[in-house]
Parts: sequence; C-alpha cells; structure tokens
Amino acid sequence: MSASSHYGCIGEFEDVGTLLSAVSSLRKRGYTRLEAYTPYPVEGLAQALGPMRDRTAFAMLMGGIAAGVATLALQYYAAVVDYPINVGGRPDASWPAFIPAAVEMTILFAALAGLVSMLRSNGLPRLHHPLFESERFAQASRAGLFVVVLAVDPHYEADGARRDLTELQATHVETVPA
Amino acid sequence: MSATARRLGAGLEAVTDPVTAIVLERPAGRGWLFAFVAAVVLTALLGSGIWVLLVRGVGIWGIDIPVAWGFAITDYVWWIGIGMAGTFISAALYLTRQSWRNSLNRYAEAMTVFAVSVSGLFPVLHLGRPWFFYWLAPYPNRMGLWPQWRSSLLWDFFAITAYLLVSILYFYVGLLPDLATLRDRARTRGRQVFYGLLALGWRGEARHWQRFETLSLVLAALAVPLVFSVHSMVALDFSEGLLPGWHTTLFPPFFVAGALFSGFAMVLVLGIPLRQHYRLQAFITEAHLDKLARLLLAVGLLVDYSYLCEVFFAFYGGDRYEIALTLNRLGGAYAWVFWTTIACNVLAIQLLWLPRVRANHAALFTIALLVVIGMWFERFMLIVTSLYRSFLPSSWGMFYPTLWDLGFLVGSIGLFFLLFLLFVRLLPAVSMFELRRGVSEGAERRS
Amino acid sequence: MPPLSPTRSAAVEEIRRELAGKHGAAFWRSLEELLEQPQGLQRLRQAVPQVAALDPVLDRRSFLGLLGASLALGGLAGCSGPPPEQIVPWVRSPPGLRASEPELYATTLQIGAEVIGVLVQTYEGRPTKIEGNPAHPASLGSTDAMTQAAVLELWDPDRSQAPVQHGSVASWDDFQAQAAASARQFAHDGRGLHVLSGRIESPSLAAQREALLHRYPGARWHQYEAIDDDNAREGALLAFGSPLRVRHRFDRAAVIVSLEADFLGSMPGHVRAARDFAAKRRPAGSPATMSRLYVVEATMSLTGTNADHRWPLRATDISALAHALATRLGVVLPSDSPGSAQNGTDHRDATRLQALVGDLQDHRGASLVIAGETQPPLVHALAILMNQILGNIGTTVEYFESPEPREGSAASLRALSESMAAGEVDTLWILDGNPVYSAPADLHFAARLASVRHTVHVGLFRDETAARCAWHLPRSHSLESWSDLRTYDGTASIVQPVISPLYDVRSLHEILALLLGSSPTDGRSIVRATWSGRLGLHDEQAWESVLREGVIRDSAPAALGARAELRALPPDIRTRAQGSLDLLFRPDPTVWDGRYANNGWLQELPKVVSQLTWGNAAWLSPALATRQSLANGDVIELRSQGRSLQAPVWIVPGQADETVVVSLGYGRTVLGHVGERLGYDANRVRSASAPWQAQCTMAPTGHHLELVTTQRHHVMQAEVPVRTGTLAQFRANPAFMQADSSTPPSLYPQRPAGEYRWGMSIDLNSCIGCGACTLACQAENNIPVVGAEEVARGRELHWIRVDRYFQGTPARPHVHHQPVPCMHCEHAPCELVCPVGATVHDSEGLNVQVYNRCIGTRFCSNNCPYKVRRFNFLQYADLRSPTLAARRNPEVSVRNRGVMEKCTYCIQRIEVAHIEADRGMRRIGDGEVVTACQAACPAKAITFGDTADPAAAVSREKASSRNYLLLEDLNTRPQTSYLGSLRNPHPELQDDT
Repeated sequence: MSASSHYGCIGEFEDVGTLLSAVSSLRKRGYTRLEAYTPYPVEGLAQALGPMRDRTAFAMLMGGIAAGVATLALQYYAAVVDYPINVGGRPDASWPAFIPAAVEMTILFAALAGLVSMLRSNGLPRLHHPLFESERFAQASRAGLFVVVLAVDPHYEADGARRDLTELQATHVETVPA
Repeated sequence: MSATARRLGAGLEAVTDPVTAIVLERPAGRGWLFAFVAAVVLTALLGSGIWVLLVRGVGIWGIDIPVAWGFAITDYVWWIGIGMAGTFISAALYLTRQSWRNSLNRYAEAMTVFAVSVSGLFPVLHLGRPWFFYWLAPYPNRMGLWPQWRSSLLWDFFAITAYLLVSILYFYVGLLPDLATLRDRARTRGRQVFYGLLALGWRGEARHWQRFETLSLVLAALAVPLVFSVHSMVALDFSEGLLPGWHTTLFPPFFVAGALFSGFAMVLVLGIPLRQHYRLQAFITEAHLDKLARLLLAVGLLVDYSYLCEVFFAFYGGDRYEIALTLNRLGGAYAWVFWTTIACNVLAIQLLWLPRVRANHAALFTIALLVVIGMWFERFMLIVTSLYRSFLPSSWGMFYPTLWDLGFLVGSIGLFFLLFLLFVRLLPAVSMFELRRGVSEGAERRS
Repeated sequence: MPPLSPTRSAAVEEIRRELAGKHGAAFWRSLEELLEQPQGLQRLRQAVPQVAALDPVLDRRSFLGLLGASLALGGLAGCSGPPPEQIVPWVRSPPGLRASEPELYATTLQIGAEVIGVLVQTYEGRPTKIEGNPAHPASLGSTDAMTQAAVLELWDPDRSQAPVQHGSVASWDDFQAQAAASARQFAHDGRGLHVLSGRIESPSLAAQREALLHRYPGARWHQYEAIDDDNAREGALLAFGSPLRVRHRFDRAAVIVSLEADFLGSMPGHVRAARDFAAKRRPAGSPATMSRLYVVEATMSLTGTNADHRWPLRATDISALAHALATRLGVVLPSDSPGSAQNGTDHRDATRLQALVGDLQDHRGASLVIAGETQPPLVHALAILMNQILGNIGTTVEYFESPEPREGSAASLRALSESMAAGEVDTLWILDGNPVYSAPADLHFAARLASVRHTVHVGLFRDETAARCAWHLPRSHSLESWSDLRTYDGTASIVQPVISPLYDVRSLHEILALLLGSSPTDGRSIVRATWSGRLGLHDEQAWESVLREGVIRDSAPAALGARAELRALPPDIRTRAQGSLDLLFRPDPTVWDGRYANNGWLQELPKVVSQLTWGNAAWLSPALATRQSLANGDVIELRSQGRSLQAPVWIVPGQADETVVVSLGYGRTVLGHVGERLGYDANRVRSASAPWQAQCTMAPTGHHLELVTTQRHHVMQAEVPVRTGTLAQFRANPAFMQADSSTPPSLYPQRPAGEYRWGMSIDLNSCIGCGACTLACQAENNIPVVGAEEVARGRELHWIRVDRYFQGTPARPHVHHQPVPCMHCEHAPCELVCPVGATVHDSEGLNVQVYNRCIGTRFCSNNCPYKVRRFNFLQYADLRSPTLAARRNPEVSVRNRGVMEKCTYCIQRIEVAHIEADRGMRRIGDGEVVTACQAACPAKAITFGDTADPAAAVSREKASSRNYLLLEDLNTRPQTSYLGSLRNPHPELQDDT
C-alpha cells in the first residue's frame, strides 16, 4: 500500500512523559512532520514537535492599534472636517471626548483580530478530518494522548512508522487512511 | 501499563464525564422544567410589555419631568453591573493564576453574556423612538449626519457594543475544546452535527493549543481593562451631567466596585443552587464558595467606602445643592430606598466575617440575594433622588412607578433565567479542559 | 361614545358617504333631505337612536361623536376662507401678501367681563392666532390668557352646529315658522314675552332691545351675568345718585389702595390696567421712584400678589376699614355710620392706617382708592368719596354715563324668576347665556323654567340650559359674526368676521332680527344701520377705516364732573353669626363663570396663585386648615343657608383666617368632551341676595381627591431663583442685586459670533404673573393639551411656565412670579449630552431642537438645570380632529410621540423677519422680531432682540443694574436674563410681613 493513500500513522500514549520522550526520539529518528493531540494544553509539546510560528499576539496588537487610530480619525473627520456643529460651546475637536470610543474599539478589534488569526493559522474551521475516522481518536478530547506521523513526511514509510511508535511504548497504533 | 498513567486517565475521565453527562445523558428533571416554564412566562410578560411600549410610547412608564429616567435605566445599570463579575472572575483570576477559578469561570462567563444582553435591551427600549437607536452608530447617511461624540451616552453605546461582542467571543473561545469533547461524546446524529458545527473541527493538536493559549491570555489581558472601562462609561452616563448627586469624579470607581459587588453576589445566587441540583460539589467546592464569599465581603466594603465618600464630600465640598441632595437622600421622600440600600449592602454583608455564615449555604445564598436586591435599590436611589429635586424648587417633582415599570423588571429577570437555563442544558457548565489540565498538573506533582 | 352595532356603524358610514359630496354651506339642507326621505330617516334612526326617539335630553355626546366629524369636515370644506361679505384687513398688514403668508384682521372680542380689541392672524382664511390691537385702548397690543384661547373656542369640535327642537335636529326654516307664530301671538302688546340676555356691551344689541320693547311694550328684557358689577353701580348710585361707570388711570397713580379690587386680574380693563400699572413700577428718575400698591383683601388675588403691602382682612371687616380710612381722610359721613374703626384695630393696624392716610394725603391727585366688585355698594361709595376728597377725580379716576342701558344682574334675574314662579312668563328667549347652570341656587331657575311654555335658547354650546329649552339655536362665534362692542372706558369698536361660519349658525343680531321679523336680517347691515346715524359713518371710507383700525375714535363718553356726597348710609346687611366662616365666591381665573370650561388650553393653564389645573377647590388659610387638620385634597362639606356643597381643600397662604373661598365655573354637567364633570359647582350654594359673600359652616367628609397642580407650594430658599429687594436698597446701591454674582471663567475658546445674537430679558418687577405668555406660546407653537392625568404625572408641555414662589410667613407671604422659558444657554448642558446631536447651537445663539433627529433619550431634560424641556411621553398632538388641525400654526411643525420639545424663541418669527430683511437687503431691525409671549404680555415684562446690537432694547434692558442670570454659578451662560424685582414698602412699615 502506498503512502499517498494514508493520512499518517497514529499512536496512543499513556501519559505525558512517554508522549514527550516519544516525540523527541521520533524527531531524532529523522521524522519532521509530526502531530500530537492532547485533551488539554501540554507545556512544551508544541516546541518539541519542531519550529512553529505563533502570530496571534502580533495580530491582536495590530488590530487594536488600527481600530483605535481609525476611530479617532473618524471622530475628528466627522466633528471637525465633515460637519462641525456648535455643541454647548465646546471646541469642534474635543479630544478628551473622543478617547472613550477609541478605547472600546481598540479592545474590540484586537479581540476579533486575535480570534481570526488563531483560527486561520490553525486551519480552522475544518469540520471533517481524516483522524476522525479513527475510533480511538475520539479519546483525544477526553483522556487520550496521541502522536501522528504524517504520510507526507519524506522519511515516512507505513510499517517503519508503526514499528517506531510501538517501540516508543505506544499502547495502540494504527494507520489512518487519507 | 503504569499505575500513575491509569490514575491520570481515570482522573481525566472523572472530570470530563459528569459534566458531559449533564448535557448528553441526564434528563432535564422536574426542577429544571418548572424553572423553565416560569422563565418562559416572565419572558412573555416582557415581550408583551415591549409590544405595548412600541405601540403607545414610554409614557406607559411612570417617568415624567423632572424624573425622565426611571426603572429602565435602573434595570440597565443593574444588569450590566451583574455582568461584570463573569469576565472579572475568568480574566483577572486567570491572569493571577487562580486555578480554583477553573470550575467557576464557565457559568460566570455565561452569566456575563446573558446579563449584558438583557441590559442591552433597556437603553434601546427607554428611547422615545426606539426604532431609531441605530442613529447612535457612525454610518454614512444621506443627511450627512454623525453622532454627537461628546455625549457619554454615545461612549456608552460603544462600550456596550464592545463589551457584548468581546464577552461573547471570550466565552466562545473558551468553549471550543469542550464543544469538541461534546462532539466526540455525543451519541445521536443531531447532537454530533450541532456540536460538530460549533466546535469548528477542534482536534486539540499541540500547536493549536499553543495559539489557543496565547489568544486566551491576551484576551484575558484585554478583558480586564475592558470591564473597568465599560463600567466607568456607565458611570459617566450620569457624572457627565451637572446634577448634584451625579456630577462627581467618584462615580467611575464607585460603579466598578458596585458592579463587581452585584456580580459576585449573582455568581453565588446562581452557583449554590446549580451545584446542589447537578451534584457538582466536586467541582464547585466549599472552598470556592468560601473564596467567593470573602471576595463579596471585600468588594462590599469598597462599595460601602464609596457611600461614605459621597456623603462626606457633599459636606466637605460645601456645595449648597450637594448638601441639600444628601440630606434629601437620607431623609427625603425616597429615604426608604436609601436605607434599604444601606441595610442590604452595608449591614447584611458584615455577617460574612463569620466563617460559620460563609459555610452555611442557605445564609450565604440569602445574603447574596440581599446584595443583588440592594444593588438595584442603590441604582434607583442614585438616579431618582438626584432627579426629583433639582436646582429650581419650582420644577421639583416625584416619580411613581407604573405596573409596566415592574413588568419590565420582572420580565428581564425571566429572560435572563431563560437563557441561563438553556445554557446549563446545552453547554458544559464547567470548563472541562481546564480541569483536565489541573488534574494532569496534579498528577505530575505527585509522580 | 357607546360601541356601534354593525348595522349602526354601517348606517353611519352610509350617512357619511351621503355627506361626503356636500359642502358646509349646503350641508344642512342635505341632512334635511336625508330626514325627509323615509329610508333616510330609517338610516338615521339606526345611526343615532336618540334622534329618532326625540328624547328631549338628547345625548349630544354620541350625537356629535357620530356626526360631528363629518359636520366639521363638511364645514371646513365649505368655509376655509374669508367670509363672502367684504371685510377689511388690518391697516398695518404688509401689502402684496402671498397666500401662504398670514393676514391680520382687526376685530373685538368680549371675554368674560373684558371687551378687548384684537388682531386675528389668518392663514388662507383660517384664524390661527390672536394678538392685541395696539390701537385699542383696552389692549394696546396686549391680551390676556382667555383672549388668546378664543381661537380654540372657534374651532372647538363640540360647538353646537344645528338648531335643535326638543332634542332633535331641526332647521332654521322650522324656527322661522315658530318665530312667526310667537310674533302673531304677541302682536297686541307682548305681555308674557320675556327676554334674557347677558350684559349689553353692544350698541347694536341695545338698539335691537329698544326696537323690541317698542314693538312689544308689555315684554320684559332681563340681563344677567354671573359675574357682574352690581355693587359698583349701586355704589355710584349712592354717591352720585346715578349709576355712573368708572375708568381708572393707573399710569397716573403713585399710590394705589385696593379694597379687594383685583384690577390686574378680573376687573374690566385689566389688560390695560396691567400695562399702566407696570409702567409705574419701573424705577425711574433719580432718586428712583415707583408707585406703591396697598391691597386689603380676604383672599390672595393676582393684584394682591403684586402688592407692596398686602393686608389679609376678613371680607366682612373691609368695609369697616374703608369707613375708618374715609373718616381719617376727612370724608364727612352721616352720623348713623356702622361700626367705624372699632373692628380689630390693634396697635399695628393703627400704625398701618396712619401710614396709609399719610401716604394718600402726600399724593393728592396722584393717588387712587379702588373698591372691588366683591365689596358692598357702601365701600364703592366710600371709595368715590375718598377719591373726591383726595382730588383724584379727573386725574387718576373718571366717571361717565353708560351709553347702553344697564341693569343689576341679581335684581333683574330675580325679577324674571319671580314672574316665572307667578306663571306670567309665556315665552322666554334666552339670548346667549346659561342661567340653568349659572343662576344662584335660591332662584330655582331650572325648576321654574320648566313651567314656561315656549323657551328658546341661543348659545355657542348645547349646554345645561339648551337641554331644558324647547328650542336651541346655535350662535355664531364672535370671529364668525358682525357686531359692535363698547369697552371698559366706553370706546366702541366693530366686530367683523374673519371667517364665514363653520356651521349653519347665526349671530345674536340675526337671530333677534328673525324673532322680531324685522329687516335688515344680515349681521353686517344691522351693525351698519346702528352706526350709520352716528359719528358720520355713513360713507364707505369712514366705515372701512373703522374696520381697518379696529376702533371707533372718540366714541368714549366724556368724563362727568359730577359731585359725590353720601346722604344716607345703607344698613350694613352682613352680620356674622358666631362660629361661622366667611364663604367668598370668586370667578375662576381661566374658565371665568364656566363659559370657557370646554377650552382645553384654559383648563390646562395653571391658575394664578393656586397653580391648579383641570378643576377648582375650596381655598383655606393655612391656619384654618391646620386647626381643622385638613390637607390639600381633603374633601369638605360646606353648608350655607340650608344648601350644601362638597369641595376639595386647597391651602392658600396669605388668605384671611376664618375664610373659605370657592370659585365659579366648574361642575358643568352638559357641555362637551373637555369640560364636563370637572370640579364642583359653587352656584349650588350661591344666593342672588349675596352673590359674593355668605356665611357657612364646614365639616370634613373623610374623602380625598387628588388635585392636579403644576407646582406645589415652594417657599423660596435663600432667594436663589428670584432676586428681590426694596426701592430703598436700590436707591442706596442700584447694583445691590449683582453683589455676589459673576460668570465663572470657562476653559473653552469663544466660538465665533454669528450675525445676530438673540437674547431675552424678563423684568420681574413688571411681570404680574397672569400667565398670558404661557397661553400665547401654546397657541403660537401648536403645543398640545395633555389632559388632567398627564398633568398630574408632571407631563404638561407648556414651553414657558410662570413659577410662583412665596417668601415670608404663610400668613402674610410675599409672592414672586417668574416666567421661565428656555434660557438658550451658550454652554448648554442639554446639547453636550445628546448622543445624536438633536439639540445644537446655531450661529445666532439659539439652542435649537431638531425634532426629526431626536430619538428621545431625555438626558437633555435631566441635564437642564432650568427644567424647561418638555417631552412627548405619549402621542399628545391630536392628529385626528380636522378642526384642531385647521387651527394650527402652519409655520410650526407638530411634534409626535417620543420627541423632546422646548421654547425656540419663536424661531419661525425670526425666520419671517430674516426673509423680510433679505428682501430689503438690510439687517433685521430692533423690535422686528416679537416673540409670542412678548407680544401677549400685558405688562410688557418681556423684551427680545439682538444682544449683539448695543442699541437694541434688549441690550439696554440687560445693561440694567437689576440684570441677573438664573443659576449663574453653573456657568451655563444663558441668553435669557432677568431683572430683579423691587418692592416699594412704606418707610414706616418696613417690617410689615
């Protein structure tokens, strides 16, 4: 059977320790395309899987700044340039009064930007995924700890991956069709 | 296979299954159904009230000149205050790594979302022409008109909008992993699809967790200043005015404290029956209730301090009108409102000094309830007593609520509980993935 | 109105369709046709069972409810336009008007006891607003509240719209037949024919009366007004031996002593009196001088609120005081004088009397003693004698012969009632009056009326009397008819119609002509005939000039130099039984004797002193109320001469103790949608023998009524809102009121000034608190009536209110009036807090309210320290009644539910001035913009104009050392400012409060 017909080879582990050591030794053995699934965030696991980019915080900063500046600009344009009106004898450009709206918009758009960036770089939403075919994988959202060796990994070879995972004390190993 | 591993696995299941069970397996139960029907009835009352309001006008309420704001605004401030605690508990305590919060934050956040949604109704409905509320939004229009940026009502419009959206977003992001759990545990096709769609295909991949964690952290960091700003804006709705009793710099912090106060109280009011009814004692423990009670007392003392300041500065400042107003609050036509507030918000909470009281759920529940009620009266007092006696004696008046005033208050409570009851049936009332993390950290510490 | 059965509503619709094609003028004929056809009658039966049933007491509510709307529509369709006869616009109305622009017509109105010349503003022939006629002596351009409201009366949907015989609709032709019959019947001498009219102020009516009495020598003509000047006439009779009429010249009086005379409030000529009085109140010259007013009265009157010295005294003691005063002034009185000064002269009263005498004697020829209608003839006679000995006759007071025949109301009506009882009355024509309601109870008028065979009632409404008469004939409104009237000083003027009748109605003159079968029969010819003989008014030009001017020059009778002396004193009839209270009757300040009870504007106008609306109450002094432990609204039972009455209590500071005051004009039972079943009917305990004062006992009933008032009693705190002082202080330091006042600094840069800067100045020293401004504003700005319940909730919509403050003790307070419109603040708190910019500042300093933009957050009102903003909590503006729509000022938009509104400084008038100025390529001149309140104000207390122009009148006012800003320390920088009020107490009576 050919690698292209696979999504990859999945192995289940009992506890975080074995999971982490398995991931690191798999990388030693030359695997570069690995995935790990846990029912809760595990410290250092992502780094162990290899280099990754996390742009979420930056996106939020940008979104916030953009929204804040835009709101201030809009208020200035509306109140001073486009349609200045004498309101209670206050100056057209009442900067102190412009701040509150800007603050709120900064926070709102920072949050929105964060959500979008998180989902996009995580490739979500993705309602179907090959792994969902695996019976055991349902445990990933309850108590199961999994490592997947992807078929796209140049080093991947179905039986090899099974063997490696079993050697690294995976309690359960199976090949997931693509 | 090792014992620790088995213990861990068992522990993870132990924190997951009971919670999913509430949603997936357990039947609604008579208690829930009874509460649900009651909530639906009250919500219907609110609905009919809104209909009459739209047909006849705000004149169906007791408001007049000079008291042009009455129950509607009181209810609004009250609800949005209640909303504050949820975000605060989950965000501020998250940032300060108070892991005990994990079992509270979910339903506290839900409470926030619902309370803010309910409160959002009132500023719209209290308008003379509610169907034009969108004129507060800056959108290009044929008349080339813009909102008036200097009005605190406009600031508040932005604040509520931001607050509502952010709290919903925060709530939802926190839900994602648990929705995935429900998706995977659901047996019926309908539920699988329902939760599947909501879960957006969350799988719990390590790098996803990484970005998820970042997002949660920054969101929490943003949410805290947000809630503080929002309640400051609410305060500015009044203190931008020049009326004695409104025009004071004390208001923003005063309102923030008040909001936390009523919020914590509401968390207790909801939490105590919730853990009883769904046997969540394992998650919402005695320790939790005790911590909440202490928080309630602490914030309560802050609020009481603000009361003190208000009275003190009225006389210290020596402004003729401020003094008159203060004396009027203490002894005027609405003095009973003031003293009810004092009884609930100052006296009642003093009992929380006693560990015995904090340990007694009935007492704790009653005190929390008193605080929630007391906070409503406080808002009423702040609004009405400042309005009914203004500068010119010739234009003094009174405010007498109508049945519709009460109808809207009760109806809004109905709507809130309707939403909350649906929440406990459809979504995990406790944040499972955070508890799982807690369990695993515990396991590691042991091994 | 009862719910309609399907068949009924169907029938109504059918009738409506029938009427749809017809037009007002042609309308009644068509209804007749309708009635003549059997199936038409059938249909009408279904629609209005009462009509078919010929029920004598027809439920006119449902009748009008069903037919009124279509009638009104028909009337409007036919009549919106000037009348067919040639009428002449006011001379000063600019030439070349476009249809959209208003025209002014001069005419004359009889309002209560007042006859006042007015200018009626009409748009496309629809009268919308009434202004005073500057050329008319009783107006000089001003009006009072009741005059302003006359235009609403014209458009009142409840007006009677068709002749009615025995409760069913009839026609004028039917009545003509009836009239012919009675003409034949009385052909020989007319015995058994009685006519009852109101007081005759119209020369034409007097002429017709002559004609009638000449034609039917045996007929009797009676006159009755519920509120008349009998006592003054008899007083004159006592003093002069003939019933001379009096006219006062307040502009010449430096010292005025009022013996319960409410010359600013209810006496004929009060509008003019207010002008002249206020003129003398402005501190002028150096050292500054102003007139001094002493008022002695039992209950707080409008005049009393403006007094420098006001001494509450039981009504029954005032004659004694007058007596004492007269003797000290050296008036020689017959020996058998009733108890002179013995009544209650403690040391204090003695000093007062001393000071009073001194003050009067220091101002010979410039003083004035004036007796009130409510005082007995003796007091009037004494007043005449005092004025004579003080040399005031010819300077501050004049006496003249009344050209029209006058009869004492009480005597005249008693005569009628007695002959009715004796069965001597075969036919009674009631020409415009409502005696069944307004006759004193002891005359049993209603009961005796039943015994009269033929009864005809003429009136504007189908009222209590109409319901009891065989015939009811609808009278045309004064704005629809020709007539002539003589005002308080005898000056005559023409009444010309400004719109042809809305319904098929006729004027009093026309109806009388019909009854006489005389010619001419049309009002205009009748009036012309009256005048063609006199004043050389036979040629058209003179006639036209009279119509244009609105007044007949030199038509006032000359003053007589008659000498007054008192031969014999009449016995003092009033004896006070032990333990009984004085029961005083007073006209209602807004609905008068009840004739304006269906006028929503007047019902909602806060009554002077009490500030009550939509009802009347029994006034008690604070002391009496406390003794009886009664609170406002507690219902008491009053018993007097075996008759009793239940009324709610209203406590009035400054009222004499042991005194209960009831007001006429309420408790109407048959009238219209507005005025029925409000308050109590004081006529039920009134007697013709003592119409103003009686003895009564009082007992609590335990019931309580919520009285509707716009203001509670507020004692003024620390003199914040109203700055006051004495003339002495003013002389010492003219700026004493500005001592601790300065506008705080501002952080904001000054906005660039516009071309104009509108501002207003209100002189509290001139303001008498009459409330004319409030009503003028309501008429000008289409301000809806909200009704009793809403006022009780505090939702009245008046844009300018007159605040009333008491100062001093409840027993003897000083009263301060303060009109409060929008302040148009430069730093307006309302503008700042509006989230949609619905209230903003314009380049000319106006604080404008943009109704279309308003979404109704009401924060502006909360944030207005002056609370001058008004909110449409519900749909108040009546968008369904077509007649009310026709009344509205087309220049002012009608506000709907959910919108905030407030005083605009009459921006529509400013805009008109702008257009005029632009046409002439010039600036708007000073005094070119006159706000509605300013125009109406009888005291000229309000000045409006461009404060950017230092020469403008308003700038000069604001430059006064009495100028101050309301709540200045809030730094709102108002454009409306006030001039503080001064009292001018007698130097020796400084402590007199």
